Amino acid sequence: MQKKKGNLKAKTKNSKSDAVKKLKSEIEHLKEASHSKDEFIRITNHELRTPLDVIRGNLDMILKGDTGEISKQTREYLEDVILGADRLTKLVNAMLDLSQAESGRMKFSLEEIDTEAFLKNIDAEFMPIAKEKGIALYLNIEAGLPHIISDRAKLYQILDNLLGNAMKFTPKGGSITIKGSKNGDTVRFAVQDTGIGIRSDDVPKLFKRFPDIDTSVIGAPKGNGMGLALIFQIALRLQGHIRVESAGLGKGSTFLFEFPTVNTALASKLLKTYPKAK
Amino acid sequence: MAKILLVEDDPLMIRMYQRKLTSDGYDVDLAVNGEEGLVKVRSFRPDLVLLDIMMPKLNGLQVLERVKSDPTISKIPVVILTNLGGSQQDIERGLELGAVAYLVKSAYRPDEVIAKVKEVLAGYTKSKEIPEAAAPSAASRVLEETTTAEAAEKKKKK
Repeated sequence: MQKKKGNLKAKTKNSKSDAVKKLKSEIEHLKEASHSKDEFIRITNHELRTPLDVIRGNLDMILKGDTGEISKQTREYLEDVILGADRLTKLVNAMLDLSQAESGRMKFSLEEIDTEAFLKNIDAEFMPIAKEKGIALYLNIEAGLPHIISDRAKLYQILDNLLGNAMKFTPKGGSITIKGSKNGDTVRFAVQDTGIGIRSDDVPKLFKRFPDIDTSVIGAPKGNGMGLALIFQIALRLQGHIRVESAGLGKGSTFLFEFPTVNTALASKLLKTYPKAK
Repeated sequence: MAKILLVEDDPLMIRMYQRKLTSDGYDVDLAVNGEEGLVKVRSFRPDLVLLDIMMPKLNGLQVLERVKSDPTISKIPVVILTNLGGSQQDIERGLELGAVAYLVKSAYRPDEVIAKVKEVLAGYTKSKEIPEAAAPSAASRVLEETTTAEAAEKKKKK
């Protein structure tokens, strides 16, 4: 009896370690699959980019008159070809960025950023675009906003994307507000608009790749379906979580996220993950 | 007439830059892989080398390393002209190895490449600038959602 029990125990132990082994091998397998998918995207990108560069390069030479005079109509057609090629290039770049961000291979270069100065620059840069579109652009910065630890180019990319979307989805006469405020150990960034808003059903889809959202009612031009997914992933790697608040269609929307303030535990954690820029 | 050696493996790329360089009056010779590139640096004695990175046989960085370690040719300025596929490490490595500039093809039009060539030949060298587009965030410059119309407007403004 005693013996049998022992055997049983050994058996359970064995099957347990078998299960662990099996799981481990499955994890390895998945890791490999994900890696080879990333490799595939990286190489495909390279291969896509070369012919695109050739298309744009040659067109550019023609448009700049290297081959002699071209008619106004030919120019118009060729300019559309360039726009098409530009769009493809953007798509390829976004694909590569997104795959890198998702796989954790994206590189970050951290530094201390003067949050107030940064937001003022962004505001100044977008002001002419807002004016042209007949949209009021406001900057709302809390006094004594602390500096943050982040990647300057990536923070710019996030705000540029959010503001670009806000401009796109806010009709003439509306307004957009860029906000910066203290929030515990972080600075909260927000881009608030009085635009067309988001249906509550669509909110969970918003940060996914190629979200299946019907924009036909809005009549807004379609993007490439990767912008928000990309900045969501980027923010995540920088300890920020982008989310959206909207009271529904026609009621505007607010996108917000927080980044760590200098000399906080969150900032040290981030600095441990990605070494500070030289 | 300045002599330029173009080391590049893609036939379409070769034709494009060759057209531009030739029409701007440069004496151009070609090499379609790194090994041939190294041979031609020695035989053609260019005033400047335009060097791709991803190539069969010797890659661009290996070519660069060998050029710079041979005192008879190490003074020849090398401009790296590559695809965005090149990583940040490649850029740093390229500049470390002694390239005078690192140009990313998708960020530089042919005439801008020529402008850089002229600048280097004129001796403005050692401009170790890393183009924004070479950074990992390259795509940020060309974020999504730029509609055709917006792009057209931008273009007109230029």
